[in-house]
Amino acid sequence: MAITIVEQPLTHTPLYNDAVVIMGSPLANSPKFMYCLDVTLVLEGMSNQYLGRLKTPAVVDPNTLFNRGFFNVKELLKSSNYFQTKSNFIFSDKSHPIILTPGEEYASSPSGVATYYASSAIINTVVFNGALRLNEYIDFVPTDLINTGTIAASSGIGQYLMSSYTDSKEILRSTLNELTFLCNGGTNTRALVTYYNGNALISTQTVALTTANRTDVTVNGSYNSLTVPPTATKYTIALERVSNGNDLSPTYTYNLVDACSMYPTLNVYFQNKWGAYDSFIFNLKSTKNDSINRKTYQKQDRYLQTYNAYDPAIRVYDSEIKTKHTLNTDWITQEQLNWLSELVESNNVQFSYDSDYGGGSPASFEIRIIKKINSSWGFDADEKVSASMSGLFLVVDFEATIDFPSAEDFYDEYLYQVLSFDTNFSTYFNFAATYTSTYISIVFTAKENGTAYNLSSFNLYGSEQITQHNNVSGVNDTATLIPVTVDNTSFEFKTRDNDKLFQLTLNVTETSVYNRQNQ
Amino acid sequence: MQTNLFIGGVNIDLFNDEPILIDYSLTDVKEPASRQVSHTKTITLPNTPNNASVFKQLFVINKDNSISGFDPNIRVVAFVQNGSGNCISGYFQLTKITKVGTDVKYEGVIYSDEKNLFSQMGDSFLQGNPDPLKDVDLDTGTSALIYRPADYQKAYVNGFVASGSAAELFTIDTGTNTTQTTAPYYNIPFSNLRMAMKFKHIWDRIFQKYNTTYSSAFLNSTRFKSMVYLDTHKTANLSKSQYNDLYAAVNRSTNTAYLLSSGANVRVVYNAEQQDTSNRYNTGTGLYLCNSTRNHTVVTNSNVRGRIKLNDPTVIYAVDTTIQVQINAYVARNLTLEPTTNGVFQNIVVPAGTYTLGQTFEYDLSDPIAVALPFERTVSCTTGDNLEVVLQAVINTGGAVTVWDAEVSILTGSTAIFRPEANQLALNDPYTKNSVPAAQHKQKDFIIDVLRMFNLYLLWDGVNYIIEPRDTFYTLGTQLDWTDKVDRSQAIEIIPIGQLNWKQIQMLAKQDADYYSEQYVTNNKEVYGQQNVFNQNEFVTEVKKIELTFAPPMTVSMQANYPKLQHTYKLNNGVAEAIDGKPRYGYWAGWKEEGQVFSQITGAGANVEYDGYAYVGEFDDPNTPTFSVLFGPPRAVYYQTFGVLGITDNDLYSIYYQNELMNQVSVNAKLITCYVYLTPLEINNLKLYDTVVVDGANCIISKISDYNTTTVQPTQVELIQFIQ
Repeated sequence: MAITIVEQPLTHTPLYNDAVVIMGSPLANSPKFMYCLDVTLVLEGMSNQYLGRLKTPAVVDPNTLFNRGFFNVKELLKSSNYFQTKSNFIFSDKSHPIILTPGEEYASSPSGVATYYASSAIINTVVFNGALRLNEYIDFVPTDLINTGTIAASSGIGQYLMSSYTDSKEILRSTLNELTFLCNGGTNTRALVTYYNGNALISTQTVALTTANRTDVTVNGSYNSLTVPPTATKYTIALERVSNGNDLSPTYTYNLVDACSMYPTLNVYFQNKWGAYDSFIFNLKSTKNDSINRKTYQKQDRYLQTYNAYDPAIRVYDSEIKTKHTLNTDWITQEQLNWLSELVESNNVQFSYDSDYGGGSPASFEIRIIKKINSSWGFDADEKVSASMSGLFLVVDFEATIDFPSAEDFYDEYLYQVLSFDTNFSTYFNFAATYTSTYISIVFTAKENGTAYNLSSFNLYGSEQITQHNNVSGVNDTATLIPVTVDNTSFEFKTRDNDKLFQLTLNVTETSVYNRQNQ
Repeated sequence: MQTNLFIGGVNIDLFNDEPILIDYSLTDVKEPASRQVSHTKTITLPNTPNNASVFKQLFVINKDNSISGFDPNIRVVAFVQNGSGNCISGYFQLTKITKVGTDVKYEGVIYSDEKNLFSQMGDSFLQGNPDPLKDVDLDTGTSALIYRPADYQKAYVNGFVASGSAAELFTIDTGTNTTQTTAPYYNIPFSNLRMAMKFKHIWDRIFQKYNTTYSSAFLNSTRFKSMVYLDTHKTANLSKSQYNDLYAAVNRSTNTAYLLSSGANVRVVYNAEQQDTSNRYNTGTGLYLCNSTRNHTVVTNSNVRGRIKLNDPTVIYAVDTTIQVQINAYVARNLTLEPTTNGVFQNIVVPAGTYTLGQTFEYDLSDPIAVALPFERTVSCTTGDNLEVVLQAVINTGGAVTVWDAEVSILTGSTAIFRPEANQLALNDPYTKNSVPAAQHKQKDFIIDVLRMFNLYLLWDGVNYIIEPRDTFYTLGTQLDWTDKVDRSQAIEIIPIGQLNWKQIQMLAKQDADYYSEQYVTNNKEVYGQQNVFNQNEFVTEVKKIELTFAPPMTVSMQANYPKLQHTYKLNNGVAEAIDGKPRYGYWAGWKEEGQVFSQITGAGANVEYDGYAYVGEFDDPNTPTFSVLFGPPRAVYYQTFGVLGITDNDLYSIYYQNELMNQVSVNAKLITCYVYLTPLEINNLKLYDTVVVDGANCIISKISDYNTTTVQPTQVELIQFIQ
């Protein structure tokens, strides 16, 4: 039967805000009439998950006096476990498509059995893990986050960062820097990373993204997952169309800074109001305070002289150590301060010490160069070495040379010069030579730790005096993430009046509890 | 300490600050014979997405939970882990959801008894539930007893307990047994044959029904296999399904054509069936086929319409002429009409005129009373007989009888019921075990009564129920020394048990309504075999009861040479009147022979004489009893013996309760409440039949209260000093 949809959620709607469906039906006065709404969640690229059927009798809409069915699917969706970011549930994500199927059930007579009829009008919406204040929700339109225009799936789609702070931002090498965007499930999108020294362009890097069938995509813009030239002081990230390089998002800028404070510097991560993760550096004084709660019980006093054993009557059977931290930012702007209110409100906060960042190792490889046919050192003919690495193409061209009297002369006067000044190998790798009677060994070691410097391919062209050996993969540096809860009653702002900057102090408690050995 | 709660296999999110507390207990020392199940206190759970997914968003009250929803009425397997394994496993019962704003909390309890036998049984009866699926099937897979004297014999009776048979025949007196001065002196109509069914069979069928198993030496002992449930119905009855197999309710859904009778038989063929489970009635032939030898009753209500048809070439009436048709209904057995009948008269007016051969006039249906023809007839039948309803229509008045034929049509709505005259078994009927339990005898009452009779303790060990009498139960465990585990910084309460308990415990079965049971109560002011146990403590006054729903066995015989039988009748103005007795139990003591005894089974199945009888009563032997299934020795017995009868006090109380109750009233017995530091592993490995030593006193564990799975801390333990 003809169900009329009076109101439905927007094309994209935040999970923690109302998602209302209002419907009408000409059969609303039928016996045993109920409006129905089936809620189905689409696991992107996989099966649909039926979440349930809501039912409501027809009630008179005071505005129109029509018999309407009112539904709000917020509670049902928010309590499903498909939106828990940072959870262990494999299907949890920052957003999912939702299918709402209106329906109705009624009986042909008051004593009859009600029969369900689905409507052919289906409501499609994408629900993202957002939580907006009422005024923000009223002002929210999906185009704040995504270009909702109909664009062919293969052509990508315009997107905006799911963060309230989009100005240039300082990050440490230890910062986990995630950029999350909503998208339309197309396959024609990638990220373009551009590296600068000051304002001088150094190089660019493309990062492939898996966007097929997805309503959101996260770019890992962390230092240790990119191939950052050592001289870079900042980099930018933007989405672009694979096919033609057109921009699909604004460009977001990240300034690389060092932890130069006299205090331990921390990265604080929090889930923002859009449901994505933001990070911020706290680099002024931080304190750590353990509170210890010991529990004891008292045994009977029984001294056995025969054994002369000390048997303490009072024993600690349990201890609980809770650690609290007080964290301070450097001076921050009012815009940053407003953004960080989301940190204070967030229920998912973690931090890591910059000094704890490590444990990785650099990638390395070796090339060996043997003597010429006449047993002299040098190249008989042109030689070319190329390699691919994290979307970058490294190449060095060696030309035929004269005969050098020794291996050392060959390296110092030719090889070192070419590698240092005429190639981009030296941008990312240190190299050093050793010598044997038959070959020169040059070991290239990445200037930074991490997998970003692993060679994905290595090619040699020429007279085959060069061979490659000992390709060793790099290992990323990591830092331990410590989950905390924010005590929002004790944060405060400090104002420096002359330049209108602020300072945020945060009191947090580690959620993990530490126990020591019992007696 | 890490606590994990699993419900339906999912690891549930817990509140940090709301621990899971568990009470472990088997009995309540203040309520002897009570049985308890270990359980958690109310667990409060947050409405995290993980938990909400388990409960399928039940808190959304307009969600239809009949579709992919959570059914709170069904048990969900659940267990709690305390970091060292399961500390309680069983099932979760969701009790409440609380919403305050957007804050939603679930509340529920885990019961340790995974199979939850008692909860599953609910208030279901052994037999006769409105929903037959709730009945306990006592017959399927067992050998059928045939209701006939030939199957009541010494060899069967003596071999019964050791055999795999579930039931055997014995005899009772429903007030119809007679005596005479010459041998055989005692006559038992074959209709007083009754079934005794082993308690163990019923017990096992209940456990089987609820997919539950047990481990018990006692329940497999000869003593328990000798305990029987006695059929004390007025008569040995057909089961409901047996009765239904003999029952046919049929009707006419259309009017038949007019059938020529004129005094000849017209068979009524009912073309539709309301109920005919075993197809006893043939809607094609109109015959009901008897498959047993018994009285059958046919109840019919025929709607009939008569017609007259001219059988003469011509007839002329000068005036309107009334012709009366009489229609009679009969029941016929094997085509022979039974002698009684019932009839109606229908007047048909033939207007003045000239009529030719074959012309007809119908009754005008103006008087409904002349249309409906009710009739009931009971017929003695044997197997293979055919029953039918027959009509006869005749011209009764009008003067021109010879020129008109009488015809009859059976109208739509005519009905007939063919059924056994009574619910009683006939000779050679299968005697179903499902017919034995008394009306509205609850399954849980049966189980509880058995527990109470033998003071059985139950413990769910995760796989089986461990079930043994109390004294045996505490031999199953190990002895643990908790002297160094008691927290001396907290109070240790020591209470003499006798002070918190009872002044008197009355242990009794239910009084039956038969003549002798009432006589005994009138004369003795207590139920037959009642035991009153006294506490000498001068500070308590409370009287408590341990009462069965079963009536006690009570043997009666007026002379020493009469069989000693259960009597189930009362006297109405001095005339014996059979009653449906209460559920009654007995001890199957085997075939008892006495040289002077001669009795016979009379009636159908031929007279059979005996020099002995199956004794099923309160003792292992009626003449020299050494064991009694009464709680206490009766003050008088209602049967005669040739020699002096010594009543045994080796009864249920002295064997199964005396140690426990004397332990409670002993001057040395104390209830010790203290806090004991138990590690997670210790609590998980602890069995409630383990005994513990504290400060040199041997104790049994009465209760562990509020064991906190979230933090390791001393737990409150209630111990009973174990004297005997």
